[in-house]
Amino acid sequence: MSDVKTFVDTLGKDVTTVAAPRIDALAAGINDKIRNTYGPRVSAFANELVKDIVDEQSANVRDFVTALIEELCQRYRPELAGDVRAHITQGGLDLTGQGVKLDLKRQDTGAVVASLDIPIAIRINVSDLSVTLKDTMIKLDVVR
Amino acid sequence: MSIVDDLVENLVERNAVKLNGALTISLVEGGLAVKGRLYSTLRDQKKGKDLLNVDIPVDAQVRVSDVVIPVPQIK
Repeated sequence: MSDVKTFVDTLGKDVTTVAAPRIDALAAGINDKIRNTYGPRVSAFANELVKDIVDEQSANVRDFVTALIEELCQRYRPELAGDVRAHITQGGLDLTGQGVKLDLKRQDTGAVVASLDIPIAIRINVSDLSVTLKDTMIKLDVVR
Repeated sequence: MSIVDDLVENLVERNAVKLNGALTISLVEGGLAVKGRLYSTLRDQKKGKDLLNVDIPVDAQVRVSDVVIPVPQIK
């Protein structure tokens, strides 16, 4: 048995000594080939594929969006309702919305589909205005 | 032409009013306030002489009610 074991060990060492460098060289070669040849080709193919997809599908997407917008515009009609009340206060002007809302209505039936309340509360500060009169002459003419 | 017409005509043609002063217009609760002082001088232009000086203090308030503005419609 001892001889068989020595035989196998010797054979294994010999095979390893001869085969390992070859396997390493093969692996390195494949690696170089993938990196230098196949990698760029895969990258170029992917780029070309993406470009083709964008070229071919962009028109479809554009047509779809255009048709969708047209259909929505034909189907719905926005309407603003309400009042803005302007009130003069000390040193400024207050603008307050009263029932201001944006209604989205059906074009055909006029039914309200959605309604958005728009709160408005704006204050505009107005500084004092000075008017100076300097030697302003008032002359009257007789009408004959 | 009556004497009164002649008098008025002469007064109007000869005289002019000169105004000086300053006014401040400010916004107050519910309206506008005008404050200041005006100095008025009535001058005889033919004689080149001031006839009358008037000092006019101004302290006025104008009430302005709320203004309701309908929101614009979307066409």
